[in-house]
Amino acid sequence: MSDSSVMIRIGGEGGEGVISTGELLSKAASRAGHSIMTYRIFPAEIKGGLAQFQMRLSDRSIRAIATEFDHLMAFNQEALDAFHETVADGGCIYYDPSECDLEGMEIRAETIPVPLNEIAKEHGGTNRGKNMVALGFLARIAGLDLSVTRDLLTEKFRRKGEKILAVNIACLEAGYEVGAESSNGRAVLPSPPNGDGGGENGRRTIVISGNEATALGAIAAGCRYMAGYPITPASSILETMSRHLPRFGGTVVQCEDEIAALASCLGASYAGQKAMTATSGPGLMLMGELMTLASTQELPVVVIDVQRGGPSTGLPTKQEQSDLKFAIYGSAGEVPRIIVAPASVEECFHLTARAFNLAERYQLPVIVLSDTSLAFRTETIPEPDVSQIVVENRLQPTKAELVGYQRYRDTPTGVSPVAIPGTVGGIHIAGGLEHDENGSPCYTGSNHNRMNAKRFRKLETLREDFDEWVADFEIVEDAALGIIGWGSTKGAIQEAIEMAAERGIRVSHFHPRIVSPLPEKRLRRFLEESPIRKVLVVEENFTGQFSHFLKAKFDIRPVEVLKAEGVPFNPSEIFDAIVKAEADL
Amino acid sequence: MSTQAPPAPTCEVHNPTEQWLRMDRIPHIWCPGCGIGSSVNCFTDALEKSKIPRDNVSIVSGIGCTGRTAGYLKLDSFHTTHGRPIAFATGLKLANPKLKVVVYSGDGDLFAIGGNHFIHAARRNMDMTVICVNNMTYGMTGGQVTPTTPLTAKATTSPYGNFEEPFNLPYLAESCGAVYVARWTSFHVRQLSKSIREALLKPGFTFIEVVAPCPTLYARRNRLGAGIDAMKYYREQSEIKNGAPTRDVALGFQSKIICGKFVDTSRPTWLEAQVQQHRAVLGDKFTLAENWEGVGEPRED
Ligand SMILES: Cc1ncc(C[n+]2csc(CCOP(=O)(O)OP(=O)(O)O)c2C)c(N)n1
Ligand code: SF4
Ligand SMILES: [Mg+2]
Repeated sequence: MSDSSVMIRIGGEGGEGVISTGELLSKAASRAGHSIMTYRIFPAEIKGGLAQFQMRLSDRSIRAIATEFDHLMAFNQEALDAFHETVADGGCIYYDPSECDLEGMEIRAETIPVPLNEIAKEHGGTNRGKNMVALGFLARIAGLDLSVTRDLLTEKFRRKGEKILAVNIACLEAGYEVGAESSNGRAVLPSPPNGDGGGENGRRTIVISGNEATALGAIAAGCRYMAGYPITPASSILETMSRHLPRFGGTVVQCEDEIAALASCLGASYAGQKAMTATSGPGLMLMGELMTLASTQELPVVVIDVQRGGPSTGLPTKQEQSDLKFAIYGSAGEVPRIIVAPASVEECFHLTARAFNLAERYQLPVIVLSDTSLAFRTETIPEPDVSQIVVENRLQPTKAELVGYQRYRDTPTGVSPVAIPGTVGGIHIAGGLEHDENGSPCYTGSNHNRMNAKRFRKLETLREDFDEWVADFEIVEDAALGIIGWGSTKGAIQEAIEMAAERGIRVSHFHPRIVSPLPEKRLRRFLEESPIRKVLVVEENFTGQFSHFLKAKFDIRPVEVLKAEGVPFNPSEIFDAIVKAEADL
Repeated sequence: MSTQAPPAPTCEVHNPTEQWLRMDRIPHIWCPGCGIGSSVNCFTDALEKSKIPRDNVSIVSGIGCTGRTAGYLKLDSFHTTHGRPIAFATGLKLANPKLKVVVYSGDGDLFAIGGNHFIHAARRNMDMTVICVNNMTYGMTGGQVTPTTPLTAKATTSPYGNFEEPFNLPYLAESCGAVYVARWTSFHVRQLSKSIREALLKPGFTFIEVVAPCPTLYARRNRLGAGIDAMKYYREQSEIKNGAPTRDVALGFQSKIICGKFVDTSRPTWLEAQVQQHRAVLGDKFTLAENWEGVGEPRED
C-alpha cells in the first residue's frame, strides 16, 4: 500500500449493482481530479455468480491494478469469503450484516457493519438502492466531496423521473453520512492537486477502458469500416464503433460470424478502405482462413484479438495471454503478419493507430493482441492529441507504373504499389492461388520461392524501419537479472522491479510493443551486451508461448514465470520470482 | 436482475421437471422472468409424455444463455461451440440413428453463425428436432442485434434502432425443407409442449420457434418492462392460426404474433434417402451399417 494511493474493492452477486457502484465511484473520483485505474471481474453469465469491481485512485499516475486493498465492501457472504484475505494490514472491511455472518471466520482486518439493505429500505421501500448507499459510503471513505457524487447521480437519473432520482439521492446521502462516522480518524486520500479534470502539465485527462481506447485509436488512424461479431471480451469495441462511426462517415456491420466479418473487411480493404475487425480467441480461430488470404493477397487489415481464457469457449470473462502462438503461426502455408501488443489503456489507443499504419505500409494483416485485463480496465489517461497522429496510406502506383501495371511487382522492399479497383490501368487480380507479379496463378517452384521471398522481405524492411517505439526497455546498470514480458503484464512487472530495487535487487526489463517479428537487434543488445546472467519471461498462459518463441531465436534458457488462473499477475508474485531467481544466481 | 434468495421451503416440494434436471447444477444462470426456463419445462413435459426412453435422447446445444440448456438436463448432453450444434447433431444422429437427437439453442447461435448449418440440415431432412428460443437478441454477450431482432428495436450494436430486415424463421425453415414447423410463445405452455411432443415423434427435420422474453437486455433497452409485461403482450397480441402460410407470419417490433403449427408434412429423411439410393444402385453390394437396421424400410406415418 503506497501512501499516495487508495485501493478499494467491492464484491457481491452479479447483477446486484457492484459494477455500477464502482463505475460511479470511479467517475466521481476522476471528476475530483484523481488518477484512477479500475478493473472488474464478472461471471460469464448475465445473472448470478461473484462479481467484483476494484479501483485504485491516486494523486499520481498509476501503472498496475490493485492487488491488495485498503477497503473492501462486501455485499454478501460470498464476496466476504472470497476477498477478506486481500485486505492489507491496517485496512478495513465493510459488510452488510443482513447478508454476512462473520462467526467462525478468521479475519485479520478491522470489520465494520454497514446495513446497506436496511438503509436502502428505509429510504426507498425496497433494497434496490443498496448500491447507492454503498456509493455514498465509499465516496466518503475515499474522501470525495458529496456534491461531486450527487451531481453525477443527478445526471444519471434525471431522465428516469423525479421520484427515482429522489430515492437514489436519499440513499446516497444516507450512505455518505454513515461513511462519515466510520471514517472518523482514518486517513483518507489527500485532496487531489488538479480538480476538475485538468491533468498533468495542464493536459486534459479522460477515463476510458482499453476497448474504448482501441476503437477510438482506430477511428483516429482513419478506420472507416468495421465488421465484427459479438464476443466477450471484445464486444464493446464493436459497440463503441456502432455508436461513433456513423458520425464520421464510416460503416459498421455486425456480420453473421467472424469468417464473414473478416472477409468483408478484406473486401473493404481491396476497395481502398481502412478496415478492421475485433474478436477473441474462438473468433480468431475462425478468421484463420481469411488472415491467411490477406497475407497472400497483400491486403492491409487490422484484426484486434482481445484474448480471454481458453481453450475453446474456455473462460469467457477471464484473463489469459494464450493466443500468441496461433496469432504468429496459425495459417495454411507460411505467411507474414505483424503482431503488436499494447500494455496499457493508453497504448490500446496509440498501438491500434500504429497498427493501421503498419498494415498500410507493408500491406499485410496486423494483429493487435489485447486482453481481458485491458478490455475491462478503465484508466485515467491524458486526452490523446489527435492532431499528432500520423496517418499513413498504402503505396499507390505512379502514372508510369500504371503502364503494364504489375500488382505484385518484386521490389527491393517487398512492397509493391497497389492500385485501388477503379484506377485506370490498375486492373488486377487479387487471389489466394500462388501468383506471379501480375497476379496470375502460377505454380512453378521458382515463382513460389520468389513470391514467398518477396512477401517475407516486407518483414525485413519493417525491421530496418524499426524505431524507438517498437520496444520499451531499460538496462539497469549491474543488473544480473532481466525480465522479458509482453502486453498487459507491463505495469505489474514494473512494480515488481521497483519492489526488488527497494530490496537492493537490480532488474532490467524488456517489453516489446511489436511482438512479431521480434525486435531482434534490440533484444540481442538486452541479452548479450548487458550484464544480464539470468532471464525471466513473464506471461499469462500455461505453456510459456512467448518463451518458446524466444528460445527458437536466442540461445537462452529463461526462467518461465507463468500464470493461467484467469486473473492478471500480482506484482508481488513477480517479485517473489525475482527474489528466487536472485537466490539461484 | 437478481433478487433475494427465496425462503427455504418448509416441506419437501418437488417440481415434476426436477427428475429431468441435473440438480447439482441448480440454481441456473437464467434471470428472473427469462423465457428460456419455461421453454425447458415444456420440453421436459413433452419428453415425459412422448414416452421416448430417456437413454435414447441426446440433447445438443450451442453457446448462449439458451445454449446452457444441454448442461442442465439429465440426458446425454453435448455442449458444443457457438453456432455448430446442428453440425454436431448430424454426426451424432448418423452414427447412431436409434438416438432421438434434439438441438436446443438461441436465435443468434442457430441463425447467425449457425445459419448455414440450419439451412443445409433442413434441406437434407436430417432427422432431428431443432428448438430455437428466439429472444431477439444475443443474451449471453450482453444484448447485441441478431438476425431476428425486429426493425427499429434497439440493441447495443444497433444503438440508433435496427434497420436490417429480420428473418421470418418459420418461412425460412419451410423454404429450406423442414417437415414440421411451429411457433409458440413462452406464454403458450400447453400448446408448446404438445408441439414439441409431436416434433419429437416425427421423423425428419422438425423445427419449433419459441418466442421468449429477455427482460434483462432486450426488454430493458427497448423499455418493454419486466417478464410479466412480456406475458401480457404475448397473451394480448398472439393469434393462433394453425396452417397459416409461413410467408405471412413475420414478426415486427411489438407486433401481432401469429402462433400455431404451420407445417406438418412428410418426405424421406437423409438416412432413408441414402439407404434407398445406395441399395438401388449397389444392389447386393450395399451393406447396411450395423446399427441402421430398419432404416429405409417403409414407415407408417
Ligand atoms: C466463435 C464464437 N464467436 C462468438 C462467441 C460469443 N457468443 C457466445 S454466446 C453468443 C450469442 C448468443 O446468442 P443466442 O444464440 O441468441 O443465445 P441467447 O444467449 O440469446 O440465449 C455469442 C455471440 C463465441 N462463443 N464463439
Ligand atoms: S440475459 Fe436475457 S436471455 Fe440471458 S438469462 Fe437473462 S433474461 Fe434470459
Ligand atoms: Mg438469443
